Amino acid sequence: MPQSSEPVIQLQAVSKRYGDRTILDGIDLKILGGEKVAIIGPSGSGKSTILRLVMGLEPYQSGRISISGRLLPSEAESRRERRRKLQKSSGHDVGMVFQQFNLFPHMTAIQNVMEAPMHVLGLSPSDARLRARELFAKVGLQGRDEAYPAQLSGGEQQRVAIARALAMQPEVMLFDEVTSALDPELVGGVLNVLKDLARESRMTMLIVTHEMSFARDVSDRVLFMEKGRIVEQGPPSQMFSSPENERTRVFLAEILSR
Amino acid sequence: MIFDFHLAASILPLLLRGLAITIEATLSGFLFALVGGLLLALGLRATMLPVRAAASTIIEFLRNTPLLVQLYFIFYGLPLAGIRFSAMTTGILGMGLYYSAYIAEVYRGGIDAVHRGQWDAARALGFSRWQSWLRIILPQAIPPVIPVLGNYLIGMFKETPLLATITIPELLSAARQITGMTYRYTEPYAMIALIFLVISYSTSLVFRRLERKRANP
Repeated sequence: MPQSSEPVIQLQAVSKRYGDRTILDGIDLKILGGEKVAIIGPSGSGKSTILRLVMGLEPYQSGRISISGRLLPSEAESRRERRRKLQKSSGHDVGMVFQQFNLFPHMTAIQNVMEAPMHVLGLSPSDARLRARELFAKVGLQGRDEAYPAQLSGGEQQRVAIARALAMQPEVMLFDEVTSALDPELVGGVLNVLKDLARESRMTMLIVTHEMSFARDVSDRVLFMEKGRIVEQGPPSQMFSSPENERTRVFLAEILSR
Repeated sequence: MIFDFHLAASILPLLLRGLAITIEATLSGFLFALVGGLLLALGLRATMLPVRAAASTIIEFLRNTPLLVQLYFIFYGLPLAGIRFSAMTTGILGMGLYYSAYIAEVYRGGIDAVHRGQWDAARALGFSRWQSWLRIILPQAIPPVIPVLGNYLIGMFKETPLLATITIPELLSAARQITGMTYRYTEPYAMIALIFLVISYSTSLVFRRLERKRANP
């Protein structure tokens, strides 16, 4: 898998609180270009919050986040500065797929995918349509172009959402528990789409998941998080066979015995 | 009390002239309120605090003072400060502003009902805040509140007799003029009541149809 030695995503001592609850507690993390990183851990450990911060969807109190050299300022910086940058920060170098799909319900499947390439990147409708069709083929969605999200199964909706994010050709893709809201029989298909994507693409991928075998297959590195900290990290072979940390062992034993 | 159909027929053209003015004032005022209400609703969700504060102050002011007082203020008060509008402009402006405040709350309900994941998705795709509003949020927020907007349209229509007090020759003024000439009260007032009823009720049927269509397209 192609990787560069330059970090594409860098978090330094990042902390986030909601009121007096600490969500992220001094996170340090470097992710290299092209790297596929899986984040595992119990619910509420802060996994999804890392993705939301990297996407620029939420403010954080202290530390520093940079993406390809673009700084996402913390609240500690002046309010004015933060607002200005948060507005712009939704740069299309990062894309995200959500647990709840978040498709636009008033648009057909193909409009969902064409909308941002047309209105953010300035593609012509025909180019955007072409790109959307190619992506639908890639994610295994056929003959559903004109269906509205409400007419699609969960698995189909998530494929549309993946195609929609890919259509912006981001450098970094964030996957936030993308199979957690799916019926069990639909999970495998969507995971296969992601596995193919991870194998073929040079994109940097950050994947939060509860599917351990998927995390093992897809990632170069696995992070285990608990209570807002990264407790342990390493290559999947080591993390899943001989984790060093007691917490990691307990978590894996519990989740794998289910 | 006898209803004189002959008289009724003879005053109908006068009443219809009043009705035309009533409808003109209602539709213009409503259009004003649709736009003004949207601006106020967006103001409530602005990123800048002064804009939010201004929007909510305007809404509270408009909702907590009587429409009649607002109309008098614009028509009789403002000219003392050198700001003068025609009666019709005053009526449209006054009713439009007043209803903007209520319609802003209607939009707000629709906007709040849009799942916040829609904002996340819009931002993740690189849409600016304005693009998110126009392409993603409002197209979802507005259709469900159209029936409520319809109720406000009808409500506004029925409030138009207030405009008689600022010399607009609308339906009530026309009826009054007729009573002045004929000393007959039954026919003119019964007829304008009937006219209000027919138009309000048929408008409500149109909106009910729209709503049904939306529910099962």
